[in-house]
Amino acid sequence: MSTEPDPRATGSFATIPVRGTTYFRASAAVAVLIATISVYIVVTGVGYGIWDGTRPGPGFFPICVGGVMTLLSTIWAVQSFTERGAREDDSSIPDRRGALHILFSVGIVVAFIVLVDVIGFVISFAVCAFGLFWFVAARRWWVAVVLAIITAAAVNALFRLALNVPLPVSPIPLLAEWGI
Amino acid sequence: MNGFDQLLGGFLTVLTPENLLLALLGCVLGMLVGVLPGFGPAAATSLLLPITFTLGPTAAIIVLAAILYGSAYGGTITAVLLNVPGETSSVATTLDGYKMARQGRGGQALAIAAIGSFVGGVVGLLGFVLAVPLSNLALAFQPPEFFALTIFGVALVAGLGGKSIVKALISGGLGLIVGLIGIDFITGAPRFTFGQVELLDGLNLVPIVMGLFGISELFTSIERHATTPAPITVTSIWPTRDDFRRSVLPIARGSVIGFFMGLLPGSPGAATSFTSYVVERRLSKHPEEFGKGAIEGVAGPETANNSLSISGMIPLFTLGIPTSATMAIMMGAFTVNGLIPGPLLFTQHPDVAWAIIASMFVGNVILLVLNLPLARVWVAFLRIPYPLLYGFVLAIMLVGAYTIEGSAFNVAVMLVAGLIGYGLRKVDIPLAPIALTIVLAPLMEQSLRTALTISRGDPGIFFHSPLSTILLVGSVTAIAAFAIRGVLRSRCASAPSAVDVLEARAERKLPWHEE
Repeated sequence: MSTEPDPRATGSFATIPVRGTTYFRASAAVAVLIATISVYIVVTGVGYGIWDGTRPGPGFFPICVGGVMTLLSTIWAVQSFTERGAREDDSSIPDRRGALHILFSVGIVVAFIVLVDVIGFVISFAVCAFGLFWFVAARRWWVAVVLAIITAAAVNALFRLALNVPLPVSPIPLLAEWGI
Repeated sequence: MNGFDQLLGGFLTVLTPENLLLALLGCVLGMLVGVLPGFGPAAATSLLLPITFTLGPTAAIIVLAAILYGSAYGGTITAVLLNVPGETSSVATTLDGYKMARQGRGGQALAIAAIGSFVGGVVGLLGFVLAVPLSNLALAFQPPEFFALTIFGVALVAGLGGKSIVKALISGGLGLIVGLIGIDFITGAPRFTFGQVELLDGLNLVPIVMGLFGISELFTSIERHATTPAPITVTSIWPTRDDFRRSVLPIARGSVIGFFMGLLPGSPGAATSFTSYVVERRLSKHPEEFGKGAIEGVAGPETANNSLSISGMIPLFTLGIPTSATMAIMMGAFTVNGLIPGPLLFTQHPDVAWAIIASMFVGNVILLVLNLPLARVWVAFLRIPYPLLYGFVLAIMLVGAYTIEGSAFNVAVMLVAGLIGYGLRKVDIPLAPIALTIVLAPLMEQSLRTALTISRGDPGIFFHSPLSTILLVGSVTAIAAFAIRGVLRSRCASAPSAVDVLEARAERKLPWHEE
């Protein structure tokens, strides 16, 4: 558990250069990534056509946006090297358990994307909800099962029955007959 | 028929059992989500947006407006009873609200906040009705004026939305990049679709904002293990006569401050509530009580905050320009329901427009009625272990994203947007400008290209009309001013302002970290 006080909350700001910190490395990496994407947009925009007879072509606006973004991300990258700030290095990096929870959550969402059109909405939702309750919420497996079933049933009732939202059903005929 | 007659018609539309029930439902849902620390109106509205898809335009916007108020007040409850602002605009409330709660006067603080919010909302609405004729002015706008207006909006939003103008502009640029995806509206050529059919119509705003604000907030909330502190118990809620007497003028001043600041693109909620706080402290006969439980320190900021949330809708309704991330999400809700917010809304769908305005008043009344007796209920919600709430909220977001178009593609968009949003938070890039520019991108590109087509490529067209000239010069001036402010701030980094310190506390979401 983080018990370190935020330097800004305590008023003890230190004007340290952020260079060399994880924050700096992340900022520099994101700035370079955005600059690369911006250059790609400019180049692709040129391919779409800048001018079309008497009017701007489809590439005109992308070139404008990409050009400005290239300039801004370059300024940001330069600023990163000279920035002085009151940031404790790694103060906002997830702890091990937090990182695991985030990764697991991402995996759950990906699993839902893969499963929903294969085994139907309700079952895939229940499986994902079970995963969240069991791993992230740290409930006992049978509690997680009960919670997942209740949540899936409630969601099904709300969206399919109350709001008439069409949801994909299971390919298993028996389950499909029940509308799940 | 004048504005007030049309407003009366709006009330007749809204005051049906069904719509009242929907407004009540929206307030309750908004408050439930709003008491989740970190879940401000933008995240709450994006989370609950999918449940409105099948309701029809009027009902959907009624529910969303109610969710907006409910979530804003939910943040006030946590600010007073937990010392945790739901969003930065509630930070000022923690200063005296929490101190009042520790003195056993949390109920009075919540009651005054509710009354102030109600008055601020009503003042905001009256101003809204008076401002509706502005939409006729906007009907005279030509492409150069619209382009200049979008640039002005982006400049102010970027300047007011973040500590670094460069990062805020980059955020705005990212939204424009997202807006490039899809078929070119003039030539029909696909752009940046990478051969994917799903991208031909562009990316849907809703899963993007759900990811940017909702998913990234969820990930941030579980990145470190911590416990939720127990909220302070509420006993008596009715303010004393002295409380009322001391709150009258702060509420009146807060209404005016909030109303005018809400008209600015960027809707600086934190700046508005702090402005009100500072004004009250300066005008108070007993400034030494501020920070120790002065009721004026709750009444003014809370009133200003709610007045701002109403007046922030004026640019959206009259000009079609959202002024904050929450307004961008509202604009998305309009679009999903086949409505185009802006000057034409009042000519093409006056019944809907006035019903929505009337529903805001009704929503404020419902909030006032709900807030006081049910404060204990909302706080009890916080006793549910957060990881369990996390599981529920993420599961509901899966459903929400899927049901937007009955497609897993939008779930993927939400996830990617969430991861990008989480990453951008880590490098201090504000997220609000992205949501705004995704919405503004089509209008900006269309007006730019149309204007240049009319002028056969002469950029001087943007300076032919005084209005577009003023807006463009104002944009450049604003960006330059914000850049200079940023430089001065960085040179004074060793001396953080009170706002910096308080915002830092808000950003750290203290309930998940023991103090």
